[in-house]
Parts: sequence; structure tokens; C-alpha cells
Amino acid sequence: MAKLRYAYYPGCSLTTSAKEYDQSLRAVFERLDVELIEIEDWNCCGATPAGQDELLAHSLAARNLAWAEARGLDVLTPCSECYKNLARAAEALHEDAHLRREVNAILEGRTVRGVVRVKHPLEAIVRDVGLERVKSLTTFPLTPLRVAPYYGCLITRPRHDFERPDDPKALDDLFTVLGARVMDYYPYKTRCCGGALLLSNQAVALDMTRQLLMKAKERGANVLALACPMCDMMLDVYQPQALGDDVIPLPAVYFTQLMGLALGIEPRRLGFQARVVSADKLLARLRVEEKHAKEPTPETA
Amino acid sequence: MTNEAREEVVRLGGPPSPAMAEVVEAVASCIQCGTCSGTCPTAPAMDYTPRQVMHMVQQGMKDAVLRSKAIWLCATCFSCTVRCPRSISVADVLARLRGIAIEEGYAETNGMTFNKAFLNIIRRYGRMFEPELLLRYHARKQTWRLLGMGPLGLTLLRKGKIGLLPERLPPAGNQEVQRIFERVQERRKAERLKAAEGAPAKKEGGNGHG
Repeated sequence: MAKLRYAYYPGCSLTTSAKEYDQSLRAVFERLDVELIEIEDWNCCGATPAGQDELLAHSLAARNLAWAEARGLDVLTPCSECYKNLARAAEALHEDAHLRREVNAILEGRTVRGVVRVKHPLEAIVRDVGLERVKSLTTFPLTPLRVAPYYGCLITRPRHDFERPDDPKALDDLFTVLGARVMDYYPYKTRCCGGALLLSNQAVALDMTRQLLMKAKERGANVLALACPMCDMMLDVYQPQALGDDVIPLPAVYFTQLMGLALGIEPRRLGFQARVVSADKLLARLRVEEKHAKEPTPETA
Repeated sequence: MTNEAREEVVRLGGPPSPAMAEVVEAVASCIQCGTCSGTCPTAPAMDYTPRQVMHMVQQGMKDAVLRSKAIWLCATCFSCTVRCPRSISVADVLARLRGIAIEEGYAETNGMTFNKAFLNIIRRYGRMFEPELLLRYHARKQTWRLLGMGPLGLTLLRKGKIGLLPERLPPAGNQEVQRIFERVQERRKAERLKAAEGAPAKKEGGNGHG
């Protein structure tokens, strides 16, 4: 099989607040032998605010899509907000010739033809790489973990060609293959964390985050697996505010960080030190240090 | 124009803006089943539920809708959109209403301050720069809140989660992004002017029936 290649769109958060998502994702895809080619001079997708004017949102996205299209690559983007914006723009530009003309008139010196596909890394892992291959590369099964997979909103909504909006399975299936126990806390696994309202309506947002953390705890999860930097902002960074002092915290980490551990990548390369809610106990439970001391290069095992 | 005057213009059959006309068209097939409100996680905090907002748009209550808190409490989770039996993207309708409220100079809400600050920064740098977003947002709101963010800010700085300088695109790319904003803005302005030209005749006709 030819080597998988994607045009990689990290998005703004992955260069700042979600650096460890970027680090762990790159390490995981390297291990999966998938090449990520970063889009040159990519611009912000416009996040939620650009949604107030569709033409603006599609044009901002199109500038990035044009780069990938010119190179015949599909786009891979790990942030759910970026994924939603880029994927919707790609779809609209594919279907609507009038919009294509409008957007091309707004872009200077770039042209979109509406032929590019946009994927979330989960889709690339489950569909393109395949869980069989992930399984064959799993050297440190996550057996002691009881993972609550958190999909958030925008991987499955509003577009849902790759996953069902109500009860998605990609993360569940992935963590099953990685050896973890997957905890069911439906319907909270796709319920909004409130991230978009963090600044403007903080009390509402924190309450949404608290509800979903409490449900995952109640169902016995010992870690929450995340796939979006805004969810991370709520569920990790703002978790102390959301839960208050008298509730035991629940580590919330990127799914790529846990996946990296299972694939035998050193924790140092996965950015666990950047967690606000400490993941130390989690790593101790997995006896990660011990394993890496014994088997410094998993390939030789 | 005062809010009352605005409402009066609409009541008398005055012209909705081209953007508003698009929204009215988008919700025309709504059957008021309330699925959107039922799935909305923030509906309990809203002054009008999403279903009510849809109804108000259908009834031409433009001003009340654009003044509502509801449109700014949408967390854009799209639960409503995927469940609407009439395939209306309720979340996109609310987003467009937020845009119209800004364009038409409605009173500033927290969400409006946030959106303006956010787009301003992207327009300038081509990418987001969170520390400036916080400064701009709180400078317009409760500046004292910035003090409360000190400890958290230090933690994030220590963990390498925020930078002190914006990541700018190289000048050529930066200019491309700025032109995108300018051209979209020019387009919207031209549309509004075109609609306004057609407006007086319509209004006179409406008065004649008064």
C-alpha cells in the first residue's frame, strides 16, 4: 500500500494551548507511518465567530484548502472547530458552483475547485490506517484504564458522513483495540462542554462541563479521552473551577496522548507535563516509567 | 433609530435587510415541533427557546429576535441542526442572526464583544492570539476580571500553553487574509445599499394603505 499522506492543518490552538495535541498526534502518525505535510502559511479557520457570515467562513477556509488541492492531498485537521469549518467549506465548495465563483473572486491569487476532502485524525486512523494495523502496533495495552471517550460536538455534527451523531463509535472502537475498558456514559459522550461560551457566558459553560465530568465519574471512568482543544480548555484547564474543591478531579487527556502510550512512545514526547489536572497517577497506574526502563525501544520487543 | 422605531418599520411592512430576508426564507418550513428546544443544552438559560426564535422570525419580529439573549447563548453544538425534521440548520440561523445584530448596531452583548475581538485579531495577524483576545474582551467588560485570571495565566505560561507574542503570517499571507475580510465587507455593504435604494418606494406604498 502506498504511504498515506495528508496536508496537515494544525489550527491556532495546536500551536499554543494545545501543543501537546500537536506533539502527540505527530508522534502517533509517525509511528503509524503516515506523512503529515503542514499547509504553508495556513490562516485561522475563523472558529465560531466567522460563522456569523458564511461567505467569510468559507473564504477563510478556502485559502487553506486551495493549498492542499493544488498538491492533490486530502486535509487532516485535529481541532474539531477547524474540522467543522474546513469540512463544511469543502463540501459547500464542491456542491455549489455559484459559491465557488464568489469565493474565488474573494481569494487573491488562489483558486479552489472544490475537490479536496477534509478528515479528522480519528477518521484517518479508523478508516484509512485501520484498527487492525493499530492493534498490531500496540505494545503497551492500556489495560488498567477505564476510558470515557468524549467526542464533543463537531466531529459528528452538523456533518455526519463518517460518524453517527447520536452514538458514535470511532473512539470506543479505538480504545477497545488499545486494550482499555471503554465506559458508557451515553448521552454525555456527545453532549456539548460549553466551550464556545467560556468567555461570554462562563457560568453556563462551567455548569455544562461539570455535568459531563460528574456523569463520567459516576460511571466509573478514570480518564476522559479528548479530541478537541476547546473541550480540553473546559475539561482540563477549567476543570478545577467547574468541579470546585471538594470533588476528586478526573484527568482529561487527548486521545492521541493515550494512543501514543499504547504504541510505546515515551510519555515525554506526548506532552503529559502540560496537563493542568495532573496525569501522574494515570501514568503510575500504567507503570509507564517501569516499562520504558525495561524496554527502551519497543520495536526490539 | 430607536428599537421601537425599528419594530414599527418592520410592522408596517418595511423591508427586512437582504441578510434577514435569507434568514426568513431559511426558517419558512419550520413546523414549530420544538425538537430544537428539546435537544438544546443551553435552552434553559435562554430568554426565548430556539423554537420561539424560529417562530418570531416567521412572524417578522426582527427587532425582538435581534435584541434577544437567546441568539448569544447558542453554544454552536449543532444538536438542533442534526435533529430538525425539516432539515433547517437552526444553529446556522442563530449564527447569522448574531451577524445581523452586529451589522445593524444592536446593543453590545458579551458574545458580541467576543466575536468582534476574535475576528479583529484574525484579521490583523491571520491567526488567533489568545492573550490579546482576553485583553480586548475584558477591556470592554469587567477589566477587574483580568486580575482573577492571573494565577491561571501563570500556570498556562509555565506549561507553555500561551505565548507572549502573536504568531503572524508572513506579510504576503497576512495581506491575503486582510483582503478576504475587506472584500466580504465590501460585498455586504453593496448588498445593503442596493436594498436601501429599493426601500423608500416600498415604504410609501405601505403608508398609503395605513
